[in-house]
Amino acid sequence: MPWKPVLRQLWLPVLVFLVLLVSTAGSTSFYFPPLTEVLGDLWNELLHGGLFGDLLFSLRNILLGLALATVVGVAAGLVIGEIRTLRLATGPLLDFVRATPTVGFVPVIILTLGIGSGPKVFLIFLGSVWPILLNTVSGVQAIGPAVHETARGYRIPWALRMRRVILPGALPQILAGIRVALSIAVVLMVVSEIYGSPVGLGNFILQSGSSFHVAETWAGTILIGILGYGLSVLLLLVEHRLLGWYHERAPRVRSPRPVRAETAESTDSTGSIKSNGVVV
Amino acid sequence: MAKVRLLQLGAVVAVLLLWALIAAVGVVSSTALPGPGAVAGALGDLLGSGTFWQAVGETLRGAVTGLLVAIAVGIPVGLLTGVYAAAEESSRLLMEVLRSFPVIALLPVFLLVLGSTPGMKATVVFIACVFPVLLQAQYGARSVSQAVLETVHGYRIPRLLRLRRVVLPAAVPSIMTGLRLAATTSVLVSIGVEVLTTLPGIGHMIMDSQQGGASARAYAYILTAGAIGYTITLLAQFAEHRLLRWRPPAQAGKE
Amino acid sequence: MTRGSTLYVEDLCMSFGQGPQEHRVLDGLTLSVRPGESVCLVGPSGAGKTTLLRCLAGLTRPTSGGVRYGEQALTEPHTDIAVVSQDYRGSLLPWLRVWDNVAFPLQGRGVKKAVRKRRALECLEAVGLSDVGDKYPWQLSGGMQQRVAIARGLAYDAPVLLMDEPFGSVDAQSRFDLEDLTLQLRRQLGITVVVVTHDIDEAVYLGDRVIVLGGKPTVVLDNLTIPLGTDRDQLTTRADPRFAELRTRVLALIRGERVPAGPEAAHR
Repeated sequence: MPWKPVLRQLWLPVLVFLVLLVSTAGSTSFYFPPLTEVLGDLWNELLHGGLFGDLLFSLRNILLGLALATVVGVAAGLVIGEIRTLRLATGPLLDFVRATPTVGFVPVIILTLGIGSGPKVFLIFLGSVWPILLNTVSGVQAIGPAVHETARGYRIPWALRMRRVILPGALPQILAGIRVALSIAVVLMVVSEIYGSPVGLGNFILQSGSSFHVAETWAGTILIGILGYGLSVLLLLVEHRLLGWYHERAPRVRSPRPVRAETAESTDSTGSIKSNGVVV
Repeated sequence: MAKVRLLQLGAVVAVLLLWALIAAVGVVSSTALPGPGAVAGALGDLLGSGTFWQAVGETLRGAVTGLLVAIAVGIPVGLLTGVYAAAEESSRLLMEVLRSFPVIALLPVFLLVLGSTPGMKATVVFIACVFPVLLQAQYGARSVSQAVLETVHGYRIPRLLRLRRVVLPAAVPSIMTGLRLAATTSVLVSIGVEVLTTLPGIGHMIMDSQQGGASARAYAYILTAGAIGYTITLLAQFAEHRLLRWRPPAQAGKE
Repeated sequence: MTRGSTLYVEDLCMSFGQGPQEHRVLDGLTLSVRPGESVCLVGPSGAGKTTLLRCLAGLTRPTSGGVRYGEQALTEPHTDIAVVSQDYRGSLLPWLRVWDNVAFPLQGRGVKKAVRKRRALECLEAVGLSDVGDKYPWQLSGGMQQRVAIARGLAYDAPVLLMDEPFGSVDAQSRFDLEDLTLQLRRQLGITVVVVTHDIDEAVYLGDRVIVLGGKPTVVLDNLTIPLGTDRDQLTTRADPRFAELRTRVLALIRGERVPAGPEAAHR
């Protein structure tokens, strides 16, 4: 019984994969080497080349930057969301900052702070903190006034209220923000490593590309895709664990879950802050 | 309202003062963070120069071309796959994987295949923008309520009319979200490509300025990029407001 | 001035689920509605009334048995049949102005815009809404929205109007008004009206006949003729002793109690 839906979702990806496999088999095109060769290169580079080290470097930067962004973004978002004056005052400012493409900072940061890991973590932090912050703010606002009043009515102390009322209430939005931030983080990882880095996946595809090792370039690109998808699936799993109550309340109607639609819906109802991050 | 504006102005001034303070004290070098005065001066100079407007034009050209193609492809495909459950289900996994792909990582490959051309830039923008538009259109098409579908069926509304006057308007709120996202993305990708290649545009000018030691000018370009992004956000909000007049006003929209 | 054909329901069965989970809801219903008649289908909630109405509308196919309209088997919606659903909020298209909502089914038939709009405004007037055509649905109250849905049914110019719990979610006063509106439209236009409701008073008040559904699975318990004439009004009709007797009778049927058959409530 549960096989049918799986098959219905799987046939097209499998078909696409097979078509790619067959159509590139024996390909002599310089730009599109056989898929088998690409996958073979991927395997070899991972096991025997430096690709695994590159992967670890990139992954570490993403996770560090994202963790930093989550801590700062959620903390600041809770404060801004709770204090009305602050929220009103910073509205346009935050919108402007969020609309500023962080990739613009890549040359500035890397040229002045160097090509090491620190500046990259900083860039990833800089790019991903805004969607998390803005989503936290609108998450706090989306908590119904009745909940706020109840908490106040029972004289729940400030710290307890933050921990048990505000934070869980805003959690669905916060996680949606982290999801957006994740894709930004991956992009900034790639850009900062292509721009200037001795290691990392971005550097790998740049190097192999500029030395015309096309199969390796494709292999690295695919690995970045796998990394991006893997991380987003991981986040989804975390979300399902943390948000059991939320998904039970609203059962699987939204199965295709376009990441931003949820966010957009909840912000539309609160009206003031639009919390759509940028995904590249 | 006036009080809110005053507050917002105050916040901007406070941030500028903080910025000036950090720059003046010299916690970070002036090449990493020049003061607001220097940046404002550089921006003033730029606004009068032809190079600046040319760079802005190049960035926007790539962004708008890619975005328009993404809209032209994404909305119809999204609506159609949204209407037919089987199409949505079949393409779901593929879309999930493709959507989470950082398109900028295709740059080395594209540099090899297409070369460093404005067309390549527009192509990367297109790929990055088509997914948000498509997925939001699909999501929107699926959001038509059961009651509406039943009514439309009961009154024997023909397919094309249904697509045009039922599915499309129902999907507009969701599509607008996709467009807003895609529009911001288009500028971002355009600049990203320019930073990493020799293609002209804002991104290239940032890199050029910073390498030439003119970090105030680099910041002026970054601010310009921010202004473009912000303008897009405002325009999108305005368009959304116009297109969605049929919706009941949001309760908290007065802030 | 009656139009249209007779609706026949023949040995209609409806089941949901398959295999061991199969759950029979409707079990061999047979009934008919003549042109110009007003028939109420009444029964407890969960009796599958809405399912039956959807079969009548051609929106669902029964598991076995069938629905005929005159000589035609109804397997999909028919141009002669308009449906006013329970969920008026959901069934009006929020992005169309009120007049456009009413006129929209006509656009499906290729009627020109000016003609459509005139017709829509006429029908809105007929339901007592003469100056809200340019508003959006959310700007109207629940009762007014339901009037719009009825106007849409009228504009479709169908001889048969099916209504599913049409007044279930409006306030009591609007409900009385809407019931009277239904009776009045039926008298004026000679249309066939089929109303599904769980409200026994409403069924007796609106129907020339009341078909009582009940049991598990649902069967036709009884088919009562309501001899209250065509001119009814909320005050005198509801005060009529025959009204009280009929409603008691229906209630008893639904609850599965036995009552002696009254002389007025003649079996068909």
